[in-house]
Amino acid sequence: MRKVNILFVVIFFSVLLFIPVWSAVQPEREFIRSERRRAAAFPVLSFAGILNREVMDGVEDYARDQVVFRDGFRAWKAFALKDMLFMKENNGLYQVGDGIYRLEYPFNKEKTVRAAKKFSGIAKQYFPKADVYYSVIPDKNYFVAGENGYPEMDYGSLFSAMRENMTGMSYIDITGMLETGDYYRTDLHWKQEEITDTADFLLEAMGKDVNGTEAEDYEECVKYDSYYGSYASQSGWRVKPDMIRCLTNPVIESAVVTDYEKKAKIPVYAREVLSEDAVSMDEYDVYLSGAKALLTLENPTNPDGGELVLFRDSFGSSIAPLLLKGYSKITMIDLRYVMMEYAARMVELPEQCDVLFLYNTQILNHSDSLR
Amino acid sequence: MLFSDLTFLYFFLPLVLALVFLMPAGGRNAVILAASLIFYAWGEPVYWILMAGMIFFGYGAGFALEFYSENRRMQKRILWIFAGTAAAILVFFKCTKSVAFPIGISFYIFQIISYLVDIYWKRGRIQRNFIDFAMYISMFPQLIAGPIVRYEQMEGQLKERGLSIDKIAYGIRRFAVGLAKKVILADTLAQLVEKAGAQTDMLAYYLTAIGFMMQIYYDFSGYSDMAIGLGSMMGFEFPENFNFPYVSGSVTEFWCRWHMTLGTWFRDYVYIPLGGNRVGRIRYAFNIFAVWFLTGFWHGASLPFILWGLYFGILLILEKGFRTTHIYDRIPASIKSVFGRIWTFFLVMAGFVLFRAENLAQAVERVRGLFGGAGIARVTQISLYYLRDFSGILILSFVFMTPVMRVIREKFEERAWFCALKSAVCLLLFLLSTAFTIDSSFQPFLYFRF
Repeated sequence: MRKVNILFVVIFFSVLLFIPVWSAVQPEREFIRSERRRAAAFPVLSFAGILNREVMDGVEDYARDQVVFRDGFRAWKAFALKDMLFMKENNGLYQVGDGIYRLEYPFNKEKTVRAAKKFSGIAKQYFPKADVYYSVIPDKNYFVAGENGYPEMDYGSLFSAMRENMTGMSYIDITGMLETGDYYRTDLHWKQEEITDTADFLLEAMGKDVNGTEAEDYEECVKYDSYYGSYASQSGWRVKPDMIRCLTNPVIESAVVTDYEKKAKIPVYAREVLSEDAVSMDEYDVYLSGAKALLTLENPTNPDGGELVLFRDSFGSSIAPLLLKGYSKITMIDLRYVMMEYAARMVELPEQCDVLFLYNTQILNHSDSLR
Repeated sequence: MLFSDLTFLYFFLPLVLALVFLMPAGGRNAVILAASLIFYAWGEPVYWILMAGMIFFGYGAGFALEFYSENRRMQKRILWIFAGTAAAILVFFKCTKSVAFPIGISFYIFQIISYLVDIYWKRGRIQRNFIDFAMYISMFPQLIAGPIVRYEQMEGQLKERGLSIDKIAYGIRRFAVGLAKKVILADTLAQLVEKAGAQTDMLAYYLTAIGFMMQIYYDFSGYSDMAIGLGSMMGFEFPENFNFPYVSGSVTEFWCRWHMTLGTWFRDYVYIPLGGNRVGRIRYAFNIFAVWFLTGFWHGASLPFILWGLYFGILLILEKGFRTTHIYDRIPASIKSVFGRIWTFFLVMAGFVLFRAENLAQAVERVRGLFGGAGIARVTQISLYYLRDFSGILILSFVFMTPVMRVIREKFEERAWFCALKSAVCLLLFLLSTAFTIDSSFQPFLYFRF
């Protein structure tokens, strides 16, 4: 017994010694790629920081981010919750088949109505002569939550709230165009290669002739098979990576994209985010370089196609290139990063145009993010 | 600093233990004192001064008591002045909402009072060594959430205590079990309480009540296990604080098993000096209510806490009264045993509903929810989902609230293979707790606020 105790004490203290020493000798992490964020920096020491405990909290955050085997520990915890304690979720995420989903409930009527009224106000003030449309992208839960016993928001009420408050606009229902396979398994977003029909459906609903623009007209120009979406990183579960595919055709190849924040031309597909030493931590940023407040996409092959003003969230980045064939120019405004008053000063908004508000249900249900 | 912080587990703890082990016996108390002051200052950089002041206050009060050791009347006055001042400081912080509440003050002030009373009652002798006294008051393993260690229990250990490999191994195992109780069970149950607590159907009210009852038990008893384990690693023997309270067959038994060091403190320093049960009926009832009022108040100067204390006072009086009736004598022992446990579990659960409430209206609404008052749905899709989601953790919580592991341990205690097995399990629990700590948001110990 005594020998066992001696061995146990030696092993325990070896663990206590090994983990901090190995963590300390590792190069300091600047980014935690698996969680798509910058690692906490060691806090700046100050008397005020000590008194208000910011230094102490900062040291703990730093220790958590720099500890050796961090990803392994997180995966172990996720495994323990799911496979040992039989919990159905970890960090608000759950698995059905090999897909990961974020629980999204309950329906927040107040926030959804806020978003709808905001959109209606923008349409009325800035686009009185335009043809205005809106469409709602269902989050992945819409397809799987209820039938697999997970709570889901009342989607019927969300769509009703939008219909009742999006005045003066036409609704384009794309829910029938989508299914769970159209989304990445490990991420919230849809796959560009699976939404060509949705893009065509939207174009047709907005009165654009899309003859001869079947999915076969696109070619794959980027293929990346190591994509771990945000849900994979947040859950800690060990899952197979997704594949990112970017589609191109003559319209997309000749497209001219202007970033109004950088005041510069940018490519349709930012291939550099897929490289090992990419600054961006989200490979989905390959589409139009990710989060951008104001962009224009110009289509030199169709100078008489008219203009589209697309109010969008991150889902818009992958569908906008597919919509370009119907227009000579698309102006993309992300109200999460820019206020409409400012956007109207930055870009010239056409009087006669199509306007599409295209948002996913998660943004509508948490519309505080809209400025 | 929390015991579940990485900075504690992988920096502070190994460093302190290394210094304690390397230091000759005579210098260990100084190391533990220094470590305790750093530990407290890390969590309470401002109120560190208050604790230091209270240490000097208690140390000086001891000498004042000794100075009048031949004059009992004067000594009694001195005791009242010093113990009363310490209690008044505690009451001030409990009652003043505009001032932040210093972590652990309820615990270290009770230890100072116990020191003074034990000297007055001649159960202990004055501690002349300032380092030993300061270490007794500020000892980091039990400083901020107990167990409340009374001076008479510690006096001998301050001077001399054994440090052996068996004690260290026991301490590590006990610490690992406590850490797992806290970060795996209690913190996961906290999610159930938070989620189900936002729902308003009957099932959700039960899930919240049972979830909180389990959370507070694993949180607090986990902390006590860690404290006892840390103490053992440094050669101390701290008193037990919990003894499977949720299997109690009566409310009286529950309070002999729950937060035992607080219960015995009030019994020895309040209830018995007031006359205990060797007085008339009215005085006896007063004594009971005084103790339970103070027990509630100790947890917080708000109506729900005080009602929570008085609720148990009433239950104890009713229980004692019922036991003297003929009806009680006629009930078969087996029925008393089974129904007593179920009844006690329910009463304790209802008590914790009161304990968790922020105000009386909330408490009434939640208790009403347990009985399915008018307009309350029995079950919703969401609460059913929570039941399924947390069923594994709830089952584990129910299993570990019983002495099943103790029975197994006692059966195989002397076998070497069992010692190896439990050590391996504890090591795994320690590493798994680390994993939970790394991937968790901040979850403070519930008893830090008392």
